[in-house]
Amino acid sequence: MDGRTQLHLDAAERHKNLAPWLLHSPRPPDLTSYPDEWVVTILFYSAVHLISAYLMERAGPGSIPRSHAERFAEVGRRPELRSIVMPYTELYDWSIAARYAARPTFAATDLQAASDDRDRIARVISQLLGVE
Amino acid sequence: MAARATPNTSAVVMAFAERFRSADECRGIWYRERGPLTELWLVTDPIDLPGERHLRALGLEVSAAFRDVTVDFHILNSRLVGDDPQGLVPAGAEYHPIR
Repeated sequence: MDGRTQLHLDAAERHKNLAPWLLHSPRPPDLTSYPDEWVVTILFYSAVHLISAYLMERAGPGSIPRSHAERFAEVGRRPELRSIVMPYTELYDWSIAARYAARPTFAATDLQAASDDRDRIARVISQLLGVE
Repeated sequence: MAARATPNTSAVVMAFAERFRSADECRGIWYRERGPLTELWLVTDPIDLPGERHLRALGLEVSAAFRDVTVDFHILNSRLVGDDPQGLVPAGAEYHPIR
């Protein structure tokens, strides 16, 4: 495996591990609520790194998308990635809500669903890369 | 002003509008062409997760019917984004009513 592929996989894992830490660590006293929106955003960027890892390994560094639009196009045109379109789009849409809505509202079930989306993408990419 | 939609994009938008016409929770579609993509945003009333996923699956079905167009379909659910979901639609996107 290309070392740069592993770096993306490492980043994906690091992001994934940060999400529960954000949810369950003791809050600073001046933080009045848990930062649910950042949990969603971190899980989305974990998925971004998983896709980058796959593209790096299969098509080289020139294939890494430089924008979300390029990444959607790349995922959309590859039949082997078809099964991640729905969870990836869901994470993307929720991360938009998380980052840009004035008051994003995520229920505990949404956060679990976001985590499940990310894990589903991870399973597909791991299978494709043969790193299960 | 946004560029005029190509025939392919017009067909995609019409197909999405037709598919969501009977779904009362759907408020409207915004779309734009961006490189190889036709981007669509479906803005909805507050809907629960199963309802959102149902609409997402319908959107993917419609997308799959267009083999020569890569459709990038998004949902802005008012339950998650609050009172102004249209405010999150990117600049340059055009509105298309669904009913």
